[in-house]
Amino acid sequence: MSNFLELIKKEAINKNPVFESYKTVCEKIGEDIDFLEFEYFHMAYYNNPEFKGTNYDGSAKPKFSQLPPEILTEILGKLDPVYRLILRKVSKRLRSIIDNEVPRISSIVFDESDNYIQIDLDSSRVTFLPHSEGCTVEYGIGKTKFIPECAHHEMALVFLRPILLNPKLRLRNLSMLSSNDFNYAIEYFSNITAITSEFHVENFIFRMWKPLKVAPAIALVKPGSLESIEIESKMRFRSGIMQFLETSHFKQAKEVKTWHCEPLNPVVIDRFVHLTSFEIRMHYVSFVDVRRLRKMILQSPTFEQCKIYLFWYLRREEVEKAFGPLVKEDSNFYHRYPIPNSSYFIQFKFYDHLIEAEKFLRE
Amino acid sequence: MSVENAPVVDVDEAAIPVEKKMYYRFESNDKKEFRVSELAIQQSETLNRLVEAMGYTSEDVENKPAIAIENIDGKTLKLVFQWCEHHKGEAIPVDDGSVPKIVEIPEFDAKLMDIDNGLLFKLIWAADYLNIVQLLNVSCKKVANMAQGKTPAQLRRVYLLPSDEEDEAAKRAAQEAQDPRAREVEEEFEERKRQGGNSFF
Repeated sequence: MSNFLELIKKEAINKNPVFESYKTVCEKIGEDIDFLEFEYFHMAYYNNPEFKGTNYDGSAKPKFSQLPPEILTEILGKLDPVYRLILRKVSKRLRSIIDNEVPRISSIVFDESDNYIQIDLDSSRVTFLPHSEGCTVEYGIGKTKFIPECAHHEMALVFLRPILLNPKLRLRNLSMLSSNDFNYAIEYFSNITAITSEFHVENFIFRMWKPLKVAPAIALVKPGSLESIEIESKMRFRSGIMQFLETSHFKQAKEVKTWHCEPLNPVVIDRFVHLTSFEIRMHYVSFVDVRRLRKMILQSPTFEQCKIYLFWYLRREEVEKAFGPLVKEDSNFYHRYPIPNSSYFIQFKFYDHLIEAEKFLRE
Repeated sequence: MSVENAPVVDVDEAAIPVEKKMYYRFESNDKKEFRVSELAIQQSETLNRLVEAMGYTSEDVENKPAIAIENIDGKTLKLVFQWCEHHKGEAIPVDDGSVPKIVEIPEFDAKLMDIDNGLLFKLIWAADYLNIVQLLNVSCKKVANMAQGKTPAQLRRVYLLPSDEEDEAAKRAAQEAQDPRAREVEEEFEERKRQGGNSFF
């Protein structure tokens, strides 16, 4: 028996996994062996340590590349999204299959900080870390790959590119979270949407901790597909919420939340009542504004709930003076107004820095 | 003709309901014969429709020739029927294609599929041809699992796939064999691409 078969036998009898055994034997004999031939002998010894060896005829055995496209699609569909992207690199045929199928990804989170970029594709995570001579990519369970002469943020974008380029991509959630200057990524995504079209996203979260504008990020997404938009920034950054109110994305959305963004002037309050739900921050709201809001909400066929955070303090005594005594329940104070010709009412709760309105079914 | 022991999986007679069971006879393309229970056949949409259309009685099953499955060999068919017998009576999963399903490989299936790649690919082919949804699911999952944790270069070796460069070289060689000027045109095209192309993206 040749040295080659002895080595395989030893590996198989020790029940070492086939690919690990393959790497060990290739290393020992100093050359690459045909994997299928190796696997044939490994399995033979694995199942029968007394196997005496036969001639190997690989020609009769079907190969992965001979499987029909529908089976390859089935196999690729069972792979973790990260490995599916790695498999894209293997051959043109696999790349063409992967790029032509509907991506089975419903959520992308692009999270950027000083020390890393983290991309979550559904529940799979890939992390790109800067390195003095390139970048390190972490994926799967404890898998790490060093890529020389490549910035980590460039690598992260290259990694996402094939997914974003797929015109069949339909995302339930897209989150772009950044504590850095994020314009390069927005610009990169814009170049992709110029090739395909805006991304189909239902829920869009945009969190930024640098003075960035909302509009270019929102423009990445198809207006009609967008149901909910969540924007988090810092008040002093002036992220352009007023310009955002002019977009068709805002006008066609169902839910909008803005966190810590610049406060809005109460005159724009009527722009929000087409939404089922909204959370915004406003400057001082006068009782005239509250009356106007109440009137519009009572007439709105879509409204469900809202939270209006106030920049200036709201005194309960003044609310009671304007609208009559509030009902106290636990630590909450509220007014209830029936919606005409319906079995619903709107409940207004008043806090120091918050007005909360919610639609309820009458008991 | 060699006849495989029937049924494919040992049957615990005591555990079987009193009603009379029917075993169909199938023959592989290398003339191996198998007896498979009616309930096990239901796992295969193709075979189930076939036997329904044939409408065999118990006598027909014994007297008529075994049903030939032309494009599957005996070794593969044995695995297929072992799987069907083990999973007989189980619900057949329905895939609406919308959400990726999580596929777990049960212990029995893992042991059954402890085979070389060549035979595994034949098993996948057979599961697809016979439309055995869950066998196709687990066998494809097994191949998918083989890819986990490997680099593109390792995957090329395992799956015997050409790299882009090898693919291009093969394409060029084929073109050259047909038209000697093809290489010149190809090189000119590549040069233009290099001049006008983006270096990173």
